Amino acid sequence: MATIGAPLLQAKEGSPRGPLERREERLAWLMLLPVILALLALGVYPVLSTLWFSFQQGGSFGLGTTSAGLANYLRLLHDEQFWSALRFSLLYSLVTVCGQMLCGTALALFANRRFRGRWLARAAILFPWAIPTATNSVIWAYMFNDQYGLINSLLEHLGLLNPAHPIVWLGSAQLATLLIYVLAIWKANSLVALLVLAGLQGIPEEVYEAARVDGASRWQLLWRVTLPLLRPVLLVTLILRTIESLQAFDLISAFTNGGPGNATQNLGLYIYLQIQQFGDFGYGSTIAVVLTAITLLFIVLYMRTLLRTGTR
Amino acid sequence: MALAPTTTAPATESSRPTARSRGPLLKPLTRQTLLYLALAVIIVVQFLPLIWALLTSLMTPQETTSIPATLWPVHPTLSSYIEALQGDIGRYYLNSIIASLVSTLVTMVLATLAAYAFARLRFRWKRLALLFVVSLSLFPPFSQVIPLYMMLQGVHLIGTLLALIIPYSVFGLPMAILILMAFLQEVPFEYEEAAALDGMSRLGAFVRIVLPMIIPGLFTTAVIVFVGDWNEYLFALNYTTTATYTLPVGIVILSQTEFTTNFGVLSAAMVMSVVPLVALILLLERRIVSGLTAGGLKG
Repeated sequence: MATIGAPLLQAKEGSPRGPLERREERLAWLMLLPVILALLALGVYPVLSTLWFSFQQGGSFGLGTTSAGLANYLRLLHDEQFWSALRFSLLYSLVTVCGQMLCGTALALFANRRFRGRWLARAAILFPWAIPTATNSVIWAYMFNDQYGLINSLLEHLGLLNPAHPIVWLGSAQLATLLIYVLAIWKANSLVALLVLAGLQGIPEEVYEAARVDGASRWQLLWRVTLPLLRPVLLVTLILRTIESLQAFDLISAFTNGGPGNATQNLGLYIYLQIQQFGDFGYGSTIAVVLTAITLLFIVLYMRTLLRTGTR
Repeated sequence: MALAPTTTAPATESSRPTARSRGPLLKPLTRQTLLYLALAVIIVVQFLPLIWALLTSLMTPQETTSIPATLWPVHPTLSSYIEALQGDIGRYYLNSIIASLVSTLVTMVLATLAAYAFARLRFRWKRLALLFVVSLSLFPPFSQVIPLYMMLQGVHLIGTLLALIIPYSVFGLPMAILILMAFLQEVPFEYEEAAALDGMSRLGAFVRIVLPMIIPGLFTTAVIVFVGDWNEYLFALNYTTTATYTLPVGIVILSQTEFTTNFGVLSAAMVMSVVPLVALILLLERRIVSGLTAGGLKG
């Protein structure tokens, strides 16, 4: 269970010949049928339908739309708000995924050491994963509230801040963006740490012993042994985190709701604005198609990486 | 190999002084102290939001709105919890429980069947079918949210809990299947072979022999699926009305619409929404970690 996607690689194919094998195959498809049908109906059909909607315009909440040709896509080109949302999404992915990889790997290396109370470290690492993203963002927004928040109040108690001039954390575009980065890195450390931890446990102790015999220092062990051996795990984790971060919605929506102004609006929030506020399912779908296309790039990359490491 | 112990013993012996001279000259005791200091920092950083919510939830309304903020509840009270449960939050809580529990149950039944087929049975197109399941789980929910809304609207389910239960049940499947496959692959084949020799059918062996052996795995998977459903936000935000708000949606909307936000009640609601999950984590930390790693997919 140590490697990511292990089930995918261990799946054995078989070409059934005799009646017994044919019965086995029939049973397999019978057991898979509900899942495949459900995924086709609620997974595949909606994706195709979104693609179709991106060529529709007008109407209200998807009803009474008419064919638009490429109008929605042309509209994208001149939509300043779309480009700013796209820019925010890409920058957000770049910064937060790098941060998550660094912090998550550090946490995993820490939790992999043997010491009393290690389970506490692991539980602490796991915790941000379990806390609902949206609810967590509300707590953070409250912590950074300029009047009643914990952070300003701590600074004031320490004499670092004049209560008459509180820092309005979420009122400044730069500070709000920075805080979103911190929050996103904090929230998804867990998943990186868990995957890396599993990778670390898959490295046999003998490798380290051999390196130590050769006189490698701790630092050299980390850079020359541990990290190179972790490369496949790190790569897969990196791709998965990128896919997830491109889809970010609840974290930002509940924290700043895109504000101040549109400073922290990403593609997800912009799609939501189009469909919920304006009821413009056509244009909302068009942006969703763009988001899906970008994601698809990484999905293909993920599959290729997974299958390539498997054949080695 | 028999020589290994004698050769490694002097090696570690000799490596110790070099490690000490190369290292930052820390005595073992200092190193120990640093280790636990780091642990303390990690725990505080990870749990800070929850601790803050917990403290606020115990404060009186006056304390939550004092400037600068009160850092410690001087007159601890449970009134925020009572107010939360008696108000709308109580209903949101119930909605979340029903939607998550029912969806988890449906997901588990369907995923167990599929995972067994993938892990144990031989059939053509297996890898393709598995790739289909995995890749679908990586698609952004935004690529599905609009047409799904139309479908649910078409059968008049928007505003009922079924509007959440149906998508949750389906979208939890890929992850559940991957995790269950990993658990199934750890069960030795011999048990089923023995069962076959005794004249038991594949399905019979699956139900009576394999399933009882992976009960801990089933439970772990169910917990992970449940956490995903419990925390879901996008579909819940789009497919619910005030009567069917789930806890995350209710909390966010309360925090964004009420200008005289009652931080005490809000914090009590957050604590209540997190506590069941924290309890599960502390109880099942090791299992959840291995399960999540096997699934390796979604956050």
